[in-house]
Amino acid sequence: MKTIILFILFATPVLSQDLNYLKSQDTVYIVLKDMKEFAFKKLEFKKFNFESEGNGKLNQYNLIDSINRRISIIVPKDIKEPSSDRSINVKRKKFLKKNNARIITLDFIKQYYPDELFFNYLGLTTTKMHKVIYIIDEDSYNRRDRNLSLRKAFIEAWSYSEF
Amino acid sequence: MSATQKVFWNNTANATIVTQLKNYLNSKNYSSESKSFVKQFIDAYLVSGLNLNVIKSAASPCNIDMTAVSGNSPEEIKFNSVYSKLMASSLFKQMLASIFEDSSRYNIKFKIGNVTNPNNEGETQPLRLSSTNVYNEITLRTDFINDASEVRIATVIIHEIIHAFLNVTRVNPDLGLTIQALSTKDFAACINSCYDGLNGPMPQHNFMTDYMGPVISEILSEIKSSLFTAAQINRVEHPQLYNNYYLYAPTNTIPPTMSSIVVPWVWNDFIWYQSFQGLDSCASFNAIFESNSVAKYYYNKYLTVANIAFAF
Repeated sequence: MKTIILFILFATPVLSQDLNYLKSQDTVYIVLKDMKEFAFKKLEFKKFNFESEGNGKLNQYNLIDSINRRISIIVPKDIKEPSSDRSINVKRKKFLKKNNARIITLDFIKQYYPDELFFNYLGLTTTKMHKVIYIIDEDSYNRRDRNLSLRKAFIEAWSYSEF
Repeated sequence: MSATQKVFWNNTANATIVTQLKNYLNSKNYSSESKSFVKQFIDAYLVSGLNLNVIKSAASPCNIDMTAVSGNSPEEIKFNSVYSKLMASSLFKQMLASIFEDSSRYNIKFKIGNVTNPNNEGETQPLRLSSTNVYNEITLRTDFINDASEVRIATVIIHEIIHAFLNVTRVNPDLGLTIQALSTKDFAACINSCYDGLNGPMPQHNFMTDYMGPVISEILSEIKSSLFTAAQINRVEHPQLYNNYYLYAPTNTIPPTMSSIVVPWVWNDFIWYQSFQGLDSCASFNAIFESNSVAKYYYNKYLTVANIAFAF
């Protein structure tokens, strides 16, 4: 019983993030599993399919809806450009205290259609992401590591626009 | 010239535009082609009610009204910069004749602003001034112009011009169809129904791969050096300097996924893939880039690297 209550206390803030609060923020953090070399995984959710692939140097996560429109989250590792702040390490406790309401997980994301979430609340257009998105490694997050590694992501939308 | 054209030519109220037309004729040594252009331009100018631009029309596949995009806002400046680069392509002016084997000229007014579907980068609306006078208004989304790379803007301008052509010429009133804006799906259906027989029976996708893709690719190739900065070119040609912008070879799996093998950036390949951007929802597109194919893999990866490397 204690475990269940603790789980609920731990999980609820992540699952019930306020969309309008997220919309008002410049930076949002997404918890996703780091992909190991040559990994490919596909998950089927009610509102979209989720694919993740990695080659050791780059992770890519695709949210693909029923008509093949796609939002891609691209996470290069250890790059020199475009900016030096693409990979940063933070102290978990201090970071979560400050940013807990800005962290979303795949369990949260899968409640929404990808365009509904990303276009209406996370600042994505067909050409540009207007918020800064950092990816937190799910394993490290769940292990409650003392330090968390954050990687800045590129987000892009595919097939949402016509001409 | 016809009597109406002569009246226009001799009217002092038209002195500025007549001077521009004279300069154009001089620059072309009064060739028969330039004379034909001037005559049709005057007719279009008189009938359309648009403020057509001589220089831009002469270098375009259609008569162009730029008055709504000639201001000093960042998006207008960027749009005009990209449009000028397209005008430098010799094929741009001939593109409709090359794609559709139809040299008709028609009238377009460009605008920048909101579009009906806020996700669409541009839209083309045929507007009817009279029973015989139709022009197309092409609107490009303001934030798209501000945010997108120049190559992507150029591609959308080309696509919208093709759209405008189809709006006017391919919807046949004799068949009981009214002139109307075509959705992208209608666009594909229109292409397929009208052009499948271009050279005898062809599979549906051949029009796009055999005609449209090569022409758009050639236009973009002609102006490639002006569309990209030296820094952008360096990023994709020398990704190791940045430890980023790598193009990875696909794995030998279904679906193909990223291997760790870096392959060199091939501009011709990128431009080929780029020429199809925006057509993703067409059935014809999916016939060219089949699901789980290596072609689809490279289409996605080239454009992803481009989106990142050419974003600044």
